[in-house]
Amino acid sequence: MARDGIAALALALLGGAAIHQAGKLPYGMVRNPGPGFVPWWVGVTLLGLSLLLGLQALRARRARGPGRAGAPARAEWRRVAALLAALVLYVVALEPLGYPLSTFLLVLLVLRPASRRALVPALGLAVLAAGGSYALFAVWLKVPLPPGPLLR
Amino acid sequence: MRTSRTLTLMLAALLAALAAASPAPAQEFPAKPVELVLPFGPGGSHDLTARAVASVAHQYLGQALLVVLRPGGGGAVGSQQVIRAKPDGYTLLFGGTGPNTIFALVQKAPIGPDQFVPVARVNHSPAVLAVRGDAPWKTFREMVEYAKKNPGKLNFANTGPWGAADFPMRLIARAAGIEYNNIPYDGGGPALLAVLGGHADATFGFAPQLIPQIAAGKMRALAVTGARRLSIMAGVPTVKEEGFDVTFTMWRAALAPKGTPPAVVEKLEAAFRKLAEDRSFKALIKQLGDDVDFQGSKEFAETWRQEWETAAQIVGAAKK
Amino acid sequence: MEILSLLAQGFAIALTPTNLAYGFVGALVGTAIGVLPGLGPPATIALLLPITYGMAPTSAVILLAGIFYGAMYGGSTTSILLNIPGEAASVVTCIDGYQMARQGRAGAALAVSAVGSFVAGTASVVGLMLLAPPLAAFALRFGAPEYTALLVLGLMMVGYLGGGSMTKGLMMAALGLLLGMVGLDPIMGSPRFTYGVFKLSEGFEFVLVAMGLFGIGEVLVNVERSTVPEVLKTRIRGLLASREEWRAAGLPLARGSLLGFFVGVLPGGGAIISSFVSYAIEKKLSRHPERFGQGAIEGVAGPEAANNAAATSSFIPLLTLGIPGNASIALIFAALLIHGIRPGPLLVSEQPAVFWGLIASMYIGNLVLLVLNLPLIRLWVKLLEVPYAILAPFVVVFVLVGAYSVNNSVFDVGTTIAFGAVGYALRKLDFEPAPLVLAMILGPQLEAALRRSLIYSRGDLLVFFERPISAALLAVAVLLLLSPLVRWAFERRAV
Repeated sequence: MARDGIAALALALLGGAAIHQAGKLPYGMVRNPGPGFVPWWVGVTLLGLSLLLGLQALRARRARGPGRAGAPARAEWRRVAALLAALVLYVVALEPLGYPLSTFLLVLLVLRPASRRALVPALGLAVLAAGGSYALFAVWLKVPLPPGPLLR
Repeated sequence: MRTSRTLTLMLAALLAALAAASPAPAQEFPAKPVELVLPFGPGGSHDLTARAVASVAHQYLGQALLVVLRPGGGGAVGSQQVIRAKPDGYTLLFGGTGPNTIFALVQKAPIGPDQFVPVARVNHSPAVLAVRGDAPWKTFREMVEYAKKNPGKLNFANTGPWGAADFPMRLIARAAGIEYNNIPYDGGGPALLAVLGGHADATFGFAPQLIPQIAAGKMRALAVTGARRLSIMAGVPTVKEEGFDVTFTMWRAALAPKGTPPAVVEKLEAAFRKLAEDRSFKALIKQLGDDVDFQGSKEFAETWRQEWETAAQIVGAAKK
Repeated sequence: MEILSLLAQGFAIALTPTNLAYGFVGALVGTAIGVLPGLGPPATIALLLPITYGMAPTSAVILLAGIFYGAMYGGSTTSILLNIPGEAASVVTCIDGYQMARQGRAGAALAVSAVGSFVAGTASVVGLMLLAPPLAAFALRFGAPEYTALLVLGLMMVGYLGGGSMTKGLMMAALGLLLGMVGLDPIMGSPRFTYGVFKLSEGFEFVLVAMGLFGIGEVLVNVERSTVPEVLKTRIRGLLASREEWRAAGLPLARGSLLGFFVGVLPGGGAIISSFVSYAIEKKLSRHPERFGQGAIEGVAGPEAANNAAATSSFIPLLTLGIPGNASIALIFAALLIHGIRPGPLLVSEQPAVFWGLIASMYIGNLVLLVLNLPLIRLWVKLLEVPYAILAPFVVVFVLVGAYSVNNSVFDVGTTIAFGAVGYALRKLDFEPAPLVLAMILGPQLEAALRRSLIYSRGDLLVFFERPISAALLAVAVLLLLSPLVRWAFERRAV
């Protein structure tokens, strides 16, 4: 399982980083452990478990021969990356554009793959999602969502 | 067409929502509930006092006062949160001697008088040394004798490092020349549970929290740290009477982050001033075993500064 | 029987039209906030506290308690329907509940969880009525070493969650522990892993992490899956659960109730711990453990029963010792206090009206919740008939607004999205996110308990083995750790 190998490597690195960072904190002593005590041991545990998973992955590979990695195809990747990018843009836009407008745009973007043939319903849904959630949370539940230039 | 009708309905609903959401005019402070951040876990005396404040505050503030629990780090977590909040008067700290003088000095944490504008002090109370009801010590002196004969054997539950239980115990240990095992707990509730369960021998608590336990015979008060005895437990001597020169009282005050507009602080102070005069509030605090001892913003700022200077010397000495 | 006459008095108090109405409103509000993301029971109770100032004390407690256990019912709804855990105690429900929904058995999962909550809640009230004082004494025996042992055992059991390998589950738990350490150290208050970013010094908020890992992560996985998004199979095979499903759920319900009742008494994370320990037990006992993580009804029934039983028994420390065990109960404590009632060891004898009125209202409240929730199932299931492509943006908006409303912060929205990306990656690599979230919540408690124990014992590690409760708990943990090794050795010999 190549995927397990990747995961083991990534988490082993993370465990190592945790050990390194925890090493900079006061370890204290067993009699009175400091802030670095538990993080250090958890880092060691994570590193150990990652190595164990790596070994298991290696054994499985030797038993079965190199298998096909379960990485998504390129088109799939693109869709996920596009949605993530849209979400990141959303966080950036939330304050300047305001909640209703940026939410409207986000919903439109998320709906796009399904709405190529039906733009009008997609627009309607986006308006409904942005307006409805704004009404529910900002107006009724009094969550101070950024209103943006539209409502200011 | 069905779709277009649905769409029209949707748009109508949206327009209605937008109309309802028309921007509110600039309102006078307070236009929304004010948060009072409590930097401790539930059930301690600080919590109880804050609840009493919140129970009447809406009458004088014109808005609800919401108590928000942010425990951790001996009160540093909640204090830091308030400092970083927008200084608009909507986020206040229910601070105290523990986190905002002693802890701030010891850890050099920026949560002291330089970071806050006081709104009002509500009260200040002495700490009460309490042991389990079936503990072998009947008096404070007996407990000290035990600790002297068995260095490091007495398990003391504090309510956070350098907090309002830890500090007076350090002072006493220094004055009496004893060694004890100092175990940190997250607030008065958990420390009390530890003593009740036999996982620690003694703790410092405040009257509100201890009175029902004492009444039920579960706990026994041995000494108070004030200059005078507490009226509600008149039989319990002061530490000074027991022969150790230690006094300590802990204040509780609403603090605003530095940079809060003076007009807003004034409004809040006025609300707290009226609140402190409220009959039912006074009765509530009395029932908790405390007395209301109000100080306004300027007055308390001075008191706090003085305490800060004194404590700085003590901490400096204790750390050596 | 004295208890029966006291209970009759309690019912007389709880059944007055006013109190009945308060109980109903509490249950309704609780269900609603359980369904809405972000807003948890403590925040809601805090908001409503001022309203109770003018009420009779018993009415106030009935209303607030209703919100608290109502939220436990509602919390499982979004977990099952959308894979979004509303409360920490319903993280475990996501694992098999959501899989059931994907297979068109959302109705069954919701029905079992509602009925299970009712049975467990009611059984737990009976227990609360009869066993409160001895249980409080039991809870007091838990000092720092016992908590340490319990949490260590709990974290090992977290490894059993989902269908993946134990190694991977434990890795997620370790990762969760590390994430839980971001912020201020629980004993000394010094900052760790914050790198000067102030927002990090508050630590990661559970709701944000859970909504990101589960809610957003799930949407990302589904977006990847196909261009013409698959419609969730929602044709309901019988709206409620079938007879076989009820039969399969029966014993897990009973075990979960019992477990939740006892673990819930412990102040702190009782409800959370009981939910995943129940899951681990059901998986261990099952003849088909491989079905867990694929939509096993036992994996919904046990944990749901456990967290509801625990919610009820978490009242015990307040009612018998006068010390609240969690933030919601602390607010109920405050409400009592404001009415001049000082909860303490003498509450039951000095204020029988409050105690027995509350007990009776809990019986009624559980019934109300069942009556309220069963018809709602039809509505919830209808929601799933919406094609996923159209549902997805609503789920995203729902989660993001929820994330914002926790602290009114845009940074938190970003945190949630970041954890969404992590959740996607974890799913791609066949990791179950539940252990991560649970370990993150329990980590600071474990660390505080461990360090406290070592200070208490002056560095003597034997303290964990000398005390009977902690020794027993640790022995179980060691057995669990060794069991795969032993099985492996046996299988090797057999080959």
